[in-house]
Amino acid sequence: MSEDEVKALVTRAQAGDEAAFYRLFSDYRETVARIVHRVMGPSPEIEDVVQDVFINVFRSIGSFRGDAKFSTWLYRLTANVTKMHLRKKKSRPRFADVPVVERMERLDHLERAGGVESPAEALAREERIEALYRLVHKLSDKKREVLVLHDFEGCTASEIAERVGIPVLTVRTRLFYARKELYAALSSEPSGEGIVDLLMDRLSGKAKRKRRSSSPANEARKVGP
Amino acid sequence: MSHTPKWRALIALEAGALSAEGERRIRAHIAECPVCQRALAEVQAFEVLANEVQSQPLETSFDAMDLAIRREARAQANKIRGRKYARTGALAALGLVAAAAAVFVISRPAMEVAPTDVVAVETTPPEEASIEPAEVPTIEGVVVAVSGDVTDGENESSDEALDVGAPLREGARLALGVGVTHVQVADGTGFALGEQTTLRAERLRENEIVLALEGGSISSEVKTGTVYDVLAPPYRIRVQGTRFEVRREGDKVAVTLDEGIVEVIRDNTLVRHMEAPDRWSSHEDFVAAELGSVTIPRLAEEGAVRLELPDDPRIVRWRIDGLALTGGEAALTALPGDFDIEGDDERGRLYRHHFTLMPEGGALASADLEAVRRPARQGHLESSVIAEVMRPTLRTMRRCYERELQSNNPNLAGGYRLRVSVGRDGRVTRVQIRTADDLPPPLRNCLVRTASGWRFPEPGGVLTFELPLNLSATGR
Repeated sequence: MSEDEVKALVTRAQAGDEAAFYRLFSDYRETVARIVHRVMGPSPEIEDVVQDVFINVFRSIGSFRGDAKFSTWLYRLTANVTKMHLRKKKSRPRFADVPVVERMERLDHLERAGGVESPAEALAREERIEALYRLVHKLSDKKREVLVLHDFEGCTASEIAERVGIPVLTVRTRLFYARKELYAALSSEPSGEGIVDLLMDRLSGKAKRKRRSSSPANEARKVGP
Repeated sequence: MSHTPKWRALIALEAGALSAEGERRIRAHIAECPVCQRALAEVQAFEVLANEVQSQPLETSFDAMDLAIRREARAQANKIRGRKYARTGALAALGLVAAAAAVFVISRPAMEVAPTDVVAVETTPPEEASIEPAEVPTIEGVVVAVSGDVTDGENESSDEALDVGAPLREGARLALGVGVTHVQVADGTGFALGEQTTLRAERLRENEIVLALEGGSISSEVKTGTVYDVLAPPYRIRVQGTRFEVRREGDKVAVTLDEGIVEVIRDNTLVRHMEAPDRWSSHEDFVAAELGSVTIPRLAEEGAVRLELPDDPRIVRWRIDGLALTGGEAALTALPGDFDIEGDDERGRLYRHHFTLMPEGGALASADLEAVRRPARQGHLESSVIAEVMRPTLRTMRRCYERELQSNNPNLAGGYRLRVSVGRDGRVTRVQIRTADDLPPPLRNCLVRTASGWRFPEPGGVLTFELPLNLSATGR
């Protein structure tokens, strides 16, 4: 859809055209779902959040003045709604990590689904991604947003700057510090250390494997600045 | 060896963004540096994980939400059309008056009414003119958590405290003395009132929420898309989708914005456009709350039930499920499940009880609260700092030993350990000498007294360390 077509659609929705509202949903739901998915990671709540985003879009379409692109406005609204959900989720009491029964059910589901990977490999990959997201969700909102857009969504720094409304330099700074925090977290968290070790096996041709607890490197880091 | 990984260079190496010379140099460094080898592995591990995330299929089913989306589309479209009709209706009504005036003009030509007005009016379709202006329905808030003495300020004759679950209606006035109150006003939108606050719900409508702060402080969390204003005359703080606190004392107003964007307006003029994180105050001597300190209001949840906290004279502050409430009788709504309920007394002692909230609600009994020893925060002192503090007293300690050798035990020698505990303020709180049974009391007392006088920099918590103590006459 061209920019002019988008503008016309938004204008129709602002005038109270019910069909235009639904068209906005059907045209942009994949985009919104992808952003929510990237920010939240694997979660049963993604569909709830997507629905919430569109309800917010409908309720606040009147405030869209067309100063920015509709896609930029939509992104910001999506990011805000997702952030609120994550915050709510954080404040809720959490249960222990994936119970055995749930793990078995997921394995069973993956077996039925079939595919190139074995069910065990697929489950291991899902668990790695879940562990990564647990660390990503510990980042501040600002750092997480930039990291997700750049490293998971594949946006360039200037695209992120436009979407988020910050200078490109700030994008780069936030990205650098977000990654730095994650690198440290990958090794210092029990689940993360497992990931690093597992992946270091794969990367053995590129880097020497050192156990964190015994490596002189880690000893040096402990006392380093 | 102390070394910080060359993160920027490693990231650039992994991204293939280094020159040939740059790459050669960093690779040469990595080959010799175990710290950077590990760091590169972490960078690469993250890259692999990020690729896995990128290649993960996105499976979202939109079928389940379709009905809700269609309903909302219809509701919003109707609302907008209702407003449009209402405006057209108002214009038509004005037109009818003008038309009557025009008729009147014909009979009384002395009155100056432009005939074009009449023409414009007559273009309005009569069927639209008959549509009544749509009044936006009011909404009701609900008290979600309360402690202290919040009353319905509207009803001066009643000093009955508001309770959890009480409705907040348009026009209502809340008056707090000592206490805290959390109110949900709309889906995802709510506020928390601080102590000594008076607030009136000026307008609680589906499309607009306006709260007038007469004094005190209000922290708000506002769902994106909600029109939400806090009036703190002469200012209006306008917001859409954010978390912020407004304080007011007379004509002094201060705003702390932790998230989102708000506008401070006075007499319809924009005074300040604020983007989080930001603070603003109308007067230099009236300070806004610290950034990051805005209370997150508690919101109502489906299935939540009543949880009561007792009027326990020991407790000055409650903490439960991320919520802080002033001590004394308090109540809140929460989802059934397990909670750690904590209370502080005025000396900072902690009381705790693991409480299971049943589906029919529940109340904590004072007797269930147990005093808990707070885990002490571990402090840290560099060994060089410890050595520096000890050094001036080594001569004194040596004299303790020499006195013992000369007076009672000429052959006394051996290896001991001095165990020193340091408090938060850097003062020594305890000195023990391990295997001290062998040490004669005069020497032990002398050493302990000397070590007790050590004064360290504040270690950032409490700290205990051990020092070797080798007593040997040959060392003299």
